[in-house]
Amino acid sequence: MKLARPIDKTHLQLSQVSKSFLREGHPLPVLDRISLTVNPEELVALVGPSGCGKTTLLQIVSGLVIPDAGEIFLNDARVSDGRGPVAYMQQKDLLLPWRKALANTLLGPEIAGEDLRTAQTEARQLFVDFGLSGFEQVYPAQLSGGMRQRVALIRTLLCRKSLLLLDEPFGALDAFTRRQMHDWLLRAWQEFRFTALFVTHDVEEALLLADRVYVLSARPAQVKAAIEVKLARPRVPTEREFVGQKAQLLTWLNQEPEEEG
Amino acid sequence: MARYREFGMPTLFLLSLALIWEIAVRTGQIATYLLPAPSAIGSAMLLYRSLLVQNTLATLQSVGFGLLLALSTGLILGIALFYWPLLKSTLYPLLIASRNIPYYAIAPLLIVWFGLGFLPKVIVATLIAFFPIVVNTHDGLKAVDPDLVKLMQTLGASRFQILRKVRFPAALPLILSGVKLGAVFAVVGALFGELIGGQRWTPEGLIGGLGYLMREAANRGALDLAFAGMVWLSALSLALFGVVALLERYLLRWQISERA
Repeated sequence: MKLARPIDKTHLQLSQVSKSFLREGHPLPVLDRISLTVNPEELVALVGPSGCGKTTLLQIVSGLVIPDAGEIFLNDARVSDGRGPVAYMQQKDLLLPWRKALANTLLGPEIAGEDLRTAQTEARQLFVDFGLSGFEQVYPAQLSGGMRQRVALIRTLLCRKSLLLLDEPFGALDAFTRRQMHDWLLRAWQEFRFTALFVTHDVEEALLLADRVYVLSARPAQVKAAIEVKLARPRVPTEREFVGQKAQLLTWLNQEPEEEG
Repeated sequence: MARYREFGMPTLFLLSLALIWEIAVRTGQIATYLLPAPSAIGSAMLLYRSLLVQNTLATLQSVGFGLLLALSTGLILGIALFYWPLLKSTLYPLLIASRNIPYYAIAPLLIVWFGLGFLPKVIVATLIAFFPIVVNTHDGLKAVDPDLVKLMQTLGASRFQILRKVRFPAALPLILSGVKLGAVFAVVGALFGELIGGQRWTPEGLIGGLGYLMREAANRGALDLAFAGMVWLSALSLALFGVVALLERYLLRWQISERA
């Protein structure tokens, strides 16, 4: 199935982005000159130790946080606050508990003032595609964690934003449900060809999904490595090349930060 | 069994209490001019049913107007306090502090200012029903999950859209418990206004609400009628609470599925 209005192709570039927060009167540097690129239709992963500022990075791209320095280019236009063509999805599904599942997915089109009948037709089709048919008129509290996260994913897709920012979207799910969600996400990606930047601390998840993986250092985060994942999809975690890349990625992650002279 | 415990036991307890009361009065343990027997109250309810119904409707009118006024002003002020920090820092502490003022005390003044009619009763009812509604509205709007608000912001929602689609529905449970409290308070307020207030002429006779009726009945030694008024007042109060509870059940039906 196709969305009524196809998703635009997006190119995201971050150049030397830095950010500090004030903690007890002292600046706490979180991001240190981060540069990265997300090409159209690419899935790009950010991995790094917990608390290294990955979420802050996504919030900067989404426009919720303003960086101290550096530039963000979206489709080669400089943006000071990236609000607009991005959709942001968190580990918490953030479904509105008083809305039934289908109504939850229509939040984006509703706010944008789009034709709700078209959006609803699309949403119903996506419920079928994501194995949720029959659960359209159910309140979120009656859904399992994996189902809720799929509803949140449908809501994110229906925003028709060209860039999806996913902040550990499957982090709260059990391993089995998580693998299932990877399949759903890849299937949706093959269908809609969106561009996505996602944060994870699961190295295997990064390698299963991403075209490129950025490895960040501990706080203040710097880009330690950008690893191209050339494996053909569908990827199998037990294949030799996959295992090799995983070892390489883990080496980068565990490497001590280099002393700066 | 659970339902029997919930309703059966309290009913049984009340009935046995009434029975003891009846026996105590009939055997002359308590003088009838001090405490009429339940059966006497029952017959007074039959005898004066038209008078009781008229006065109940009068009370309901004051309570209804008072509650509606309290609800509309309370919601508006609660929302204004949330969005306007200057207003909040000026008024909110005063609101919290003034909860301890017995508003019944200003009823005599209201009667001086507005006369013995309908208005002072409505004002007292409004005043005391207003506080739980305004405070709960403000607190409810404030207690919303900030991540939900962020989500709405990334979707490009305006402040009004965030209020309508997220803050208000999220605050609704707290607002409704404020309204429930307000409904009970409004009955107390209207009753107090009636107890010291006056009556008005209607084709049915002098109607001043249940408070007025109970006062006049007690003054004339008609304690059976005063008690009958109290029964109607309790019924009115319970019915009003029930209506708000039903409304709550309907508006918060998503919470019922959450509990299941």
